[in-house]
Amino acid sequence: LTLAAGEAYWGIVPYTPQAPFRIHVRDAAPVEISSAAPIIDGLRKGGDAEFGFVVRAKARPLLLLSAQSDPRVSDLFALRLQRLGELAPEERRRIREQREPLLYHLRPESLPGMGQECAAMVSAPIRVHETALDTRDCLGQLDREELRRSPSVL
Amino acid sequence: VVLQSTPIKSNDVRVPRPRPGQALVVHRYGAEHVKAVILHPDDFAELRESSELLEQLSGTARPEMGELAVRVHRRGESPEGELIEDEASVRRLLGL
Repeated sequence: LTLAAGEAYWGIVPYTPQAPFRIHVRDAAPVEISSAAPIIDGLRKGGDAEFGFVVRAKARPLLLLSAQSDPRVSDLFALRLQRLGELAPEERRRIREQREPLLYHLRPESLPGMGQECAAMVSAPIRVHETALDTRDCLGQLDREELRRSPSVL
Repeated sequence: VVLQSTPIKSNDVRVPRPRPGQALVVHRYGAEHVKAVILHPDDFAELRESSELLEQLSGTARPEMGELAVRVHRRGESPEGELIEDEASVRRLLGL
């Protein structure tokens, strides 16, 4: 399998961890901590101790920014896709007119597998492991020209 | 492909001086036929940086990972410490 920049797939994307943090414990409900400092203090006190964190995640369509860089390292960079159908008509219009610099409108023809218009969320590129992608179906692919015309992060 | 630049001596062309943030679009046969775009050097540098970033992200211009880089990356991604999931130990470390 060769993944290429500009291709889109469904992937499992965890929400960015933020307070309150939920620490996994065996056979009990997670321990909730309201800030990072006590966790960092505790882990540093514990030497090379590590906690398991309970983090929510969801299946999301992703646009790959990078091709597979090295078979020994399976990390990829990606942008999350926002389906325009979930937004208000005025918001959709602003995105189509490229008036939202951090929401880059993608031509529906480029991503036929999505079934609807999308915008790439340029504000926050994410890192994704290739095993977190469902590579059975490529949702579509932006061509090099479309990538070139896109905002700087793309 | 990274955006390439070709130097031309200022004696050889006559171009207006663009302000930073301004693109001077040179038309030919009407506004829909753009012949050239004149940018301030700062804006061009930013554009070129974006172009290089794209190349790096897409992997075509990215330097190959050496053994050391791979090892460091793997180490960063591999749990190496003891996973604490016993509730009493977790609470003790957290000072609860």
